[in-house]
Amino acid sequence: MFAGRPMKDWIDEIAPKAGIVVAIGDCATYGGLPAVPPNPSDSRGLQFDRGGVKGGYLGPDFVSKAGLPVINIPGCPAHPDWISQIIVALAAGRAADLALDDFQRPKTFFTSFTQTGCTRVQFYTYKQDPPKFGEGMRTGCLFYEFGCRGPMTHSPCNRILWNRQSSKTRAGHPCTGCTEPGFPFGDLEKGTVFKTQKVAGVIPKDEPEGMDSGSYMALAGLSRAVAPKWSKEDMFVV
Amino acid sequence: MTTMELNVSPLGQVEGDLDVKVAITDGVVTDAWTEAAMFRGFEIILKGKDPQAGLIMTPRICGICGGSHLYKACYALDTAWATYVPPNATRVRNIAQACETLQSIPRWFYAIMCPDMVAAQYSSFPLYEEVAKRFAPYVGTSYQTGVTLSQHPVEIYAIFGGQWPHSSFMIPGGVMSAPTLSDVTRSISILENWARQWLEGQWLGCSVDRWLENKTWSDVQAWMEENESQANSDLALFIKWALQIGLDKYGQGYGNYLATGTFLNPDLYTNPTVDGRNAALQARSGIYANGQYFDFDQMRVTEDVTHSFYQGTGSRHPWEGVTEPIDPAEGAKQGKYTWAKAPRYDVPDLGYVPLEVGPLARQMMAAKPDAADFQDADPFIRNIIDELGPSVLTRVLARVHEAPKYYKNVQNWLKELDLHGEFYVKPGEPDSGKGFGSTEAARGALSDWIVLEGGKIANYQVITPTAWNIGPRDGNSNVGPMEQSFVGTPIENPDFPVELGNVAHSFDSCLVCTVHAYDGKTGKELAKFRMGGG
Repeated sequence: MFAGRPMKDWIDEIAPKAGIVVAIGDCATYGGLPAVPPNPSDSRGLQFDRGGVKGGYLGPDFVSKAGLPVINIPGCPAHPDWISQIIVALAAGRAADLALDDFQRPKTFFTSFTQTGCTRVQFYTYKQDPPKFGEGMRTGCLFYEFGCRGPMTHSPCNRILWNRQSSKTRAGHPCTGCTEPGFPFGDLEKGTVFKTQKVAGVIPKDEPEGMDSGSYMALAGLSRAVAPKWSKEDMFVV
Repeated sequence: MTTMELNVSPLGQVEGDLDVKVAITDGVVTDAWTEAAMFRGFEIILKGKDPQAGLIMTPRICGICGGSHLYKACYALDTAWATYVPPNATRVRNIAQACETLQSIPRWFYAIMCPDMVAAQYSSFPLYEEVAKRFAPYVGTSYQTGVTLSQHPVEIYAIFGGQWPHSSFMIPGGVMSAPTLSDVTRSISILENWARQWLEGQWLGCSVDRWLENKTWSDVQAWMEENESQANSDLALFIKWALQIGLDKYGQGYGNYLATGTFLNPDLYTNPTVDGRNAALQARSGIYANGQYFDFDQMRVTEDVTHSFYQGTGSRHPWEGVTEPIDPAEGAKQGKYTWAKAPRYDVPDLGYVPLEVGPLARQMMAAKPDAADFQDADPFIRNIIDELGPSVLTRVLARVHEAPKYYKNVQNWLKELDLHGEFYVKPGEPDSGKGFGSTEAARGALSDWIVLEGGKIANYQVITPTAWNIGPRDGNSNVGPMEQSFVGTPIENPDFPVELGNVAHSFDSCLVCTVHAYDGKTGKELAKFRMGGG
């Protein structure tokens, strides 16, 4: 509701007149946290529903007056730079340069992974995990035990830092995949929070994008076997 | 006698979710109804989920208090799981909580409080030109620097938590991060740079220590005239302006307060329990009602839904709380008018009463007798309340007085951090238990009650400061604290009631903070007014 009218009435009135429609944040993009089952407020995104089904409130065929679908800037929250840079691009007449991916996210930001630029990537290479939280900042990759979705989440979180300082993964915080339509993954059901979901107790249920479990296990076995001594020690030391 | 009703929407500037209806008789507000206008149902979503789901979910309730939500959600689990929290982890949590509030104070003052204070209606007052030059939205010279520099304290949050807002880095048993030397030195540099530029340079016109020497209202008056730098500070200009336009004359409210306190002592709360919490708080909890102080006891808190869009009437303790929304149109027929529940506190011998939360409440508790050595004991704002009474001015002074205090706190915790110590001890995860976690968000007491059964959340209830303040009438027809504080406000121009904005903004109610809010269409509209430079 805004100023006495349901938000959907505002959208009904404004969207057909808008030159360009931009959805900012997960709620506007996919329905966001309020849409987690049982979705008590019937939340949906502008052009996608939770899980990534195209449709949403405006419907799959909506295009704005400029002939564009809704431009999605997801994230919970969306980074201020992503928002301002896309709006500057649109205002500067660069809409034609704005290639969108399957979820209508600007490719320039959402092609690389959260893992791209992560300071822990060398530990990922040799499949070394930190023994526990609280030592997460000192060593290791959070993908194996703590549910980090950095290898399969598209965001520039480690290219464009947060508050110009850091990122979740740099601070020992597993990526929760908040720029993807499945966030929060596992619907926050029992056992899904900050824990890597596994098959048969060993194989990560969700593999790094583009890998099958056979090649993942082969690579992991080889990596562990050749892991150098330093990869088992603290790197981010006092 | 002329009576009119006035609808003001939206009143909250952060989000457009607070509508207020007031009745005006002979130019003075005689009654008020605050209507929270949005429903999201987070408590319903959390039911049946992973015990730690609140660490992901509740920080996202609010874009500006996310760190405070995380702080209390984590302590709710720490108490339910009976964790051990190493002192260093508590220090990091406190640094993060305080930095979030340091960000909020200037951002609130310039972006929320100022716009209605510089309304054209006040242009005939002598200081108007200077006030507008400095405080006008977007273009004011102090507005620009104050808002821009307010981003720096949360850079420290990001160093420890990865990002601000919406980090979940506080977890039962500690924090996820283990800082390095440069994390601490960077934090010190950012904090000191911000303090020199804004807090001392622009806001106080003097050192933090000089400001903290003020203990009474007459001290403040002397401080304003002490030298040119202090006289020209943004704070002194605000005080002179507030007295000129009468912000000391209205917005009183009930004068009864509740604080749940915050900043757990790192060494005294290594084994967090609900019962041990009061004694470990650096910023103390408490109740002040009808002239008397009482200790805070979470068992005396209830939420009343008689006038809220939920099933039924009456009140419940949050551990037994239910959230069953109903169609607002149906609710309206039963006299319900908002998505906010009405939190109440059972004061000994007084019964269930509405209490104001926020900086005024916190600073009243700072003057509560019998502080332990490590606890904040500060009679300053209490003296101003005694001298001037509560008002828009006093509420603003209480809030901004926290900036120098919290700055000193952060300095100390950074100094005390033992980088070689533990930051996390893995807890057991018992299947069942009850927990209570609380803190003071910039806007006031913020608490979670959690019940775990079978390794899942059986019940989760959040009471936000905004619910305490903007909550509606209860079953005994007691109006909410903010509703009460509108009463008696003089409205000079019903077509442009800036006075209402000044009262509402002094509470800094951030409606996105309410778990349940909706825009109820009520009463006939005689005028509509958009707050904040309109």
